[in-house]
Amino acid sequence: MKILVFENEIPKVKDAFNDVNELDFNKSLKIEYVDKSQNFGDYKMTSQYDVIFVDIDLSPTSFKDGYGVIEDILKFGNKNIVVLTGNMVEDELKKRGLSDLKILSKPIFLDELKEVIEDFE
Amino acid sequence: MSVKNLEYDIKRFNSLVLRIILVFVLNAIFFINENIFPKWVYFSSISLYVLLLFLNYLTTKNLSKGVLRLFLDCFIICVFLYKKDLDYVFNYFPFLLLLFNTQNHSSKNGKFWLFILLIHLSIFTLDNFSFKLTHHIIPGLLYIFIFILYIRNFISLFKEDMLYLVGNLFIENVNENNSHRILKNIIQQINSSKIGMFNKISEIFLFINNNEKFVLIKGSKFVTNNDLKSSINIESIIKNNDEKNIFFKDSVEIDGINYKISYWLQHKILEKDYYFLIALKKDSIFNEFLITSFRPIFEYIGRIYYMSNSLMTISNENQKIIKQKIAYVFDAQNALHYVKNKLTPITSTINLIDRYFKQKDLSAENKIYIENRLLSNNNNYEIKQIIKKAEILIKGVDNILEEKDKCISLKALIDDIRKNWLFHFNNIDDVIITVQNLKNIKIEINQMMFDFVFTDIIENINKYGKEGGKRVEISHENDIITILFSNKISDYDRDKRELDEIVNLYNLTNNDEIYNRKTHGLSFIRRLLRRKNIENKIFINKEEKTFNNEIKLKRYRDENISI
Repeated sequence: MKILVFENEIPKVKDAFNDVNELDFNKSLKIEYVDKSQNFGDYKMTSQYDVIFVDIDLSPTSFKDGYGVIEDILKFGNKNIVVLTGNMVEDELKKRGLSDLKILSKPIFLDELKEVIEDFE
Repeated sequence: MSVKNLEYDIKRFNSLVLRIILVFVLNAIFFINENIFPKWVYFSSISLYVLLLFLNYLTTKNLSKGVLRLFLDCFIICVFLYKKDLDYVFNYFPFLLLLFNTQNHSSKNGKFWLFILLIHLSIFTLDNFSFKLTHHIIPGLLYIFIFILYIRNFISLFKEDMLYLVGNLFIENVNENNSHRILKNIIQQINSSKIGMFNKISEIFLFINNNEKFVLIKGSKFVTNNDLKSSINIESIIKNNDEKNIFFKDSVEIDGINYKISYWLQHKILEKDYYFLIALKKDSIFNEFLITSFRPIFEYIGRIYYMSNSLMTISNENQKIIKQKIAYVFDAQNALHYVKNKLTPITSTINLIDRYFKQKDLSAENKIYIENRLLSNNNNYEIKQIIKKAEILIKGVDNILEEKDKCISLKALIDDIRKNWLFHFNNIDDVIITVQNLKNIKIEINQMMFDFVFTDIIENINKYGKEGGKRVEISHENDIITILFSNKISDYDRDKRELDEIVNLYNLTNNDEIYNRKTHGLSFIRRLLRRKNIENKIFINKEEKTFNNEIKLKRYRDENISI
């Protein structure tokens, strides 16, 4: 299973993803991390991932914030997106017509992360 | 204004009371004087006069009623006064009645010329068609009497209008900071009114007494230099004068302009003294009369300013409370966001412990994995840091700044850097110190604030820095300690445009833009250091491709200096 994570503070979430991969998915997850929108490259490639986690607050040097990244991913048809956030983003997602997306609140709990990934298996 | 222009309401001229009095006066004249005509002529004339008046009330159209009544009045007066001695003052009484009524009821139609014409024609007839100047002078004096009454009446009405106008201006502008418009409008109204023929107001200024010095708070004119030069030294007069509601003539200079004919009007509104300076355009015998007549208007304006000021004080206090609450919510949101982000590694650790002890089917391989993970973690220190930082964030930056600078050794400060560095990078070799005798060098510093500054800078280096390219350099020269944090930029060529932009924003005087871009760490550091007036900048070393944050600290700082 291929997972892509757009996250500003990769070291803070990396352990959680590694733990879930190790303990619940028997190392079957292939996880890639990206800290800025421009570091991903061709967004056509996003369609190859089974699930994409997007942190809303990306680095200030990121060309786009999380919402911009989500819009780019959706253009290429992948709807398996999970919003990662430490803030209340429900209203903003609703305004942008993205209320169908799953939200994983920070701090990340291993069981919640596991369940979210299992939903896309 | 002239007598001709007096508004004369002919319709209201013939009041019932006047007629009754006139009939009594004419009868008195009949009995006091010798009469030319037989008795029946006078009685039939007065009966006919009363009858025609009655018919006039009932039949004649409104527009011509007054004119006809005036003719009737003049006719009956002529009959009764014919060939009587007009040197006898009582015989002018019927004319006085006509004038009195004119003054009381004149307002609309300017037919006063007709009234004068008829009166003087009547006198001419009574004088047997000969012109006797003295007989015509007496009504002339009565006209002056009417004129004074008219002016008094007019000012009274004008005052009412002005109070209404001032009230409306206040209501219209209550939420605007343009209450000076009230003074401008007052000048405009007074100058364009009939009062303007006596004199015109050039400017109005409003002062308050602040520690025995006059302070200009409002003016009909914008003033850049509000120093007041008074010819009578008004400040000392008021200081030594316990009387309230004083009134002085003065010649003043405000903002380089001389107002030679000016009047001071004082109004005490509750505990506050307001001093109006009314500058007039020319000297006139009516000046004092006009200024004192307008006293109620200025008292009303004073009350309005007092009320407006009270409202503004309440509004400012409310705004301050609202701002504090918004700041609190903002800080709380920041703190929550910060905590949630930072807690993920800790929740992972707790989840691992849970699984280790509670999950019965945990494989041996997974147990080893969890044990290794737990051994490599140092969450205790991190939890402490997170809670401490969140507490500070929730209380706001001011809370950190309230802590006074203390004299500590430079070693204690560097230890804080080492501690943070060690936590993030597991080494202290990159903390390069080129200062001897650290313990002996004392520095005045807010240690708590710097703990946050160092934590944030080092966290940023951890997040964005390239492996192997991180260092801190601490040097000391001429009582200035320089701390330079430096890290290699992961992909300089790709990010240089954005990094340049951040550097420019950071080094700007105004912090708002960078704050809006959610660079919380950077803007937090910058806000703290700027508030303490500590020299700080970030710069890119293009050759070494490093991102640098430089702090220059004076060993001995003046606590009072702050931006």
